[in-house]
Order: sequence, then structure tokens, then C-alpha cells
Amino acid sequence: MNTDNLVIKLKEGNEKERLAALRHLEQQGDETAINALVDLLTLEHSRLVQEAAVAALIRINMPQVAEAVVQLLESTDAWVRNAAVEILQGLGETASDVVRDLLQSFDPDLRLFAVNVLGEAKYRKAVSLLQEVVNNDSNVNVVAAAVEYLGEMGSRVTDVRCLENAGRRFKDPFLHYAVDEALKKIGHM
Amino acid sequence: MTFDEFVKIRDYIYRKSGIFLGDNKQYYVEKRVRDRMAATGHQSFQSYFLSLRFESSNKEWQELVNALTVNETYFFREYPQLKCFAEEVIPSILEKKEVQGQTPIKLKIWSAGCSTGEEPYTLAIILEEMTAGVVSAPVTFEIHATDINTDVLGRAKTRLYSQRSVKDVPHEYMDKYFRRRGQMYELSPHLGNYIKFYQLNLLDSTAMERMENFDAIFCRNVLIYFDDNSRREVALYFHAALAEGGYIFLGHSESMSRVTPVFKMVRLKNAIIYQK
Repeated sequence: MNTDNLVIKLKEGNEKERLAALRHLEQQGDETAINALVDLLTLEHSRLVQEAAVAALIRINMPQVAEAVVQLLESTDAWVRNAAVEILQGLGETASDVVRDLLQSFDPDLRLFAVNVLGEAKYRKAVSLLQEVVNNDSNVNVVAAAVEYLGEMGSRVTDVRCLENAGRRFKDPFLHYAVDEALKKIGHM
Repeated sequence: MTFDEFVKIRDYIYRKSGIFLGDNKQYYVEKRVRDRMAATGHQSFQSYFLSLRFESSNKEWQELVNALTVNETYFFREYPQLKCFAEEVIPSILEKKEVQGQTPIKLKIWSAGCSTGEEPYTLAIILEEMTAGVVSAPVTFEIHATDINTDVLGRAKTRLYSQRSVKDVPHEYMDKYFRRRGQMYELSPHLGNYIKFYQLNLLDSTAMERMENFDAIFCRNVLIYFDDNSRREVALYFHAALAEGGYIFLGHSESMSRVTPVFKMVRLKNAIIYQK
């Protein structure tokens, strides 16, 4: 079956047929397939098919998935936003460029999502990206989240300095508490 | 290990597995983390933790979870769940199948990650004891017992168990199903006829797609070893493998809601379980 027919099946088939079409599209893994699977996250009514689409997109593991999924972070549907975060987390380093760009967004909510993705990352570059957030981001909630993750993932003197610097940049007592906790976790206090 | 280091690894373990280790477990955790540090050649806690945190293979994670959990298996483990299966789930499935007009009624159960066989044999005893007389139609059952490790499957097929394995078997079942063999206990051979033991990797899509029409799946204390992506994959395979309305049993520290929302959480008298 060609991609166009699979996309039609994805929209019009019963649940079993949609799952089968989804698996074929995953194997194709091209741009049309990726876009169809990403659309499925917002258009599909079956949670099972949606969850299968999340798993399929993670398995495709291409930067194009991250590029297509990032728009879903602005969805009004909480499940869709969470699914996008989970896909970006699941893609790991494959999504790192998209996540780095997301950290430059004007919207602090989007930057917070990016920090949450980095906080689960298993690649070391995530630590320096979190450091940049702690050093430069203007929003206290975004910085607090990054501080918390840096406490878990950081280890070096530069991480300690960066955390101490965040404490100086903001007066918010919650941030000071987060910094103290992170420093303890790094083993500095 | 300082208290802060303990909190750091404790929080990480909880986030990744659902296993919560209270403050009173600091020494217990410290001892096992030290053993793992020695085994992996790490001189400091921080270096061990970061290596665990950033590893992509999940290998050390599995070793650590093994060290932190009571990974021995024994008959009638997590009794309240089994009571739930015996007294609530089995009658409910049988009655539903009787209404559908199935005769004989066939039950199909899967023990996923069965290790040395204590769980599937326990299920065989329960099914033999609890399916008689519930419905008027005759009842048959089969249990699929799978594990990735062929050594443990080989041991399961011997049906020989130590005193520790049988410590929780109720007396009447001990007399009925076990016979002493020196230091060991031999399980009645007829129970083996209900069970198909075979190797299966829960992440092998081809093998997993062949599993179908199960009325219940037991996968207790297995998913804690998987990373987030793999856990979701396995959960979706289980969903596909279950018959409509089928049940899934996880370990007491595990929660399907943390993995995927595709199952319904069902609060029964004796346990919380998940249903397709």
C-alpha cells in the first residue's frame, strides 16, 4: 500500500486498521509518514492509537520528528503537550537541536518544556544547555526548573558557580531554596 | 554516602521505577550502591551516579535495581493480588464467558518474566482450585510462561524448589501439590501440563505480536528494569495481547498509569489492577 493510501486508512479505518496503517507508516519513516503520525496525535480519538503513534515516532528517531512535534507544545490539550514532551525526551540527542532552539523561544512556557526535556536527557550536552538557562534565562520558573535538574546532572566547579550565580540573579525565596538543594545534591554544601 | 547523596539517588530511583526507599533505608541503599561502585570501578558516589544517569545501555540500571530489590521469587508472592485474581477476577471472567455461551470455557493466562516458574505454577494451583463449580460449563485453562533467560526456564521445568520458595504455600496446598525430595520439594507433574514454558523477549515486536487473546497477564516486578520508552512499548504489546476486558497484574510498586493511559485502573476488594 502506498503512503497516500496508508494516510487515508489512518483517517478512515477502524481501530485495528489504523494501528496497522500506523505500523506501515512507521516503517516508511519519510516526511509524509512523520507528518501523518504527528497529525494523528491531535486528530485521533482512540488513546490506544495515539499512544502507539507516540511509540512509533520515538522509534523513527529522526530530527524531522522533533521538528514536526515541537508545534504540539502549544496545543490546548494537556495530553498532546505531554505526548510532545515525551517524544522529545524519547528521541534523546536526536532532538537536541530542536530543544536548543526552543530554549530561545519568547514564550517561557515553551522554554520550561525544553528544560523538562533536557532534565530527562541522557546526553552530556544537556548539562551545558541547562547551564546556559541557569545563567541567562530571565524567567524565574524556567531557571528554577533548570537549577533542579542541574543539581542532579551537574558535577563540575562550573556547575556550582552557575548555581551560585542564579542565587544572585533572583531574589525569589523559592529559587534560593532550589539553589541550596541543588548545591547539596552536587555535594557542594 | 552522605544523606544528600542518598536523597539524590533515592529520588532518581523513585522517578524511574516507582520504588520508594524511605529515610530508614539509607544504610540498605548505601551498602548496595557501594557494592555496585566497587563492581564498576567508581571511586566516588558522584562519578557512579553520573555514569548511571547518562548510560544509554540501561545495563547498570538493571544491576542496581537487582541489588535493591528482593529479586528472589517464591510461590504465592504478593498474596493479596493472587487473592484478587482467585476470588474476583477468575469468577468475573468465567461468568462473562458463560454469558457469551462459550463451552467449554477456556482461560488463557500469561506469566511474563516467569523466572524459575514459581509464579506460573502458583497460577496453575489457583486455577485448578478456583475454577471448579463457579459456572456450569466445563472449564479448561492454559498458562504461557515466558522469560528471556533460558537457564531459568530450564530450572522451572525441573519442578524442584527449595524451602525458601515454598515458605508461603498454604498447608493444604503443600500437602496436595508438593512432595519432599531430600532438601527440595517436587511439584506435582500434572501442573506442568497446564503450562507452556518458552523464551520470549518482551521487546521483540514479531514475537510479541503473536501473543493474543489472553484473559490475564502477570508481569510483576519486570517493567522496573526497563527504560521509559521500552516500558511504553511493552505495555502496548500487552494491550494488544489481551482479550477485550482482560486484566494485567503488575508488582506492588509499579503503576501502569505512569507508563500509558490505555488501561483502565480497577479498584477491587483485594488489589488495584488494570484492565483493557
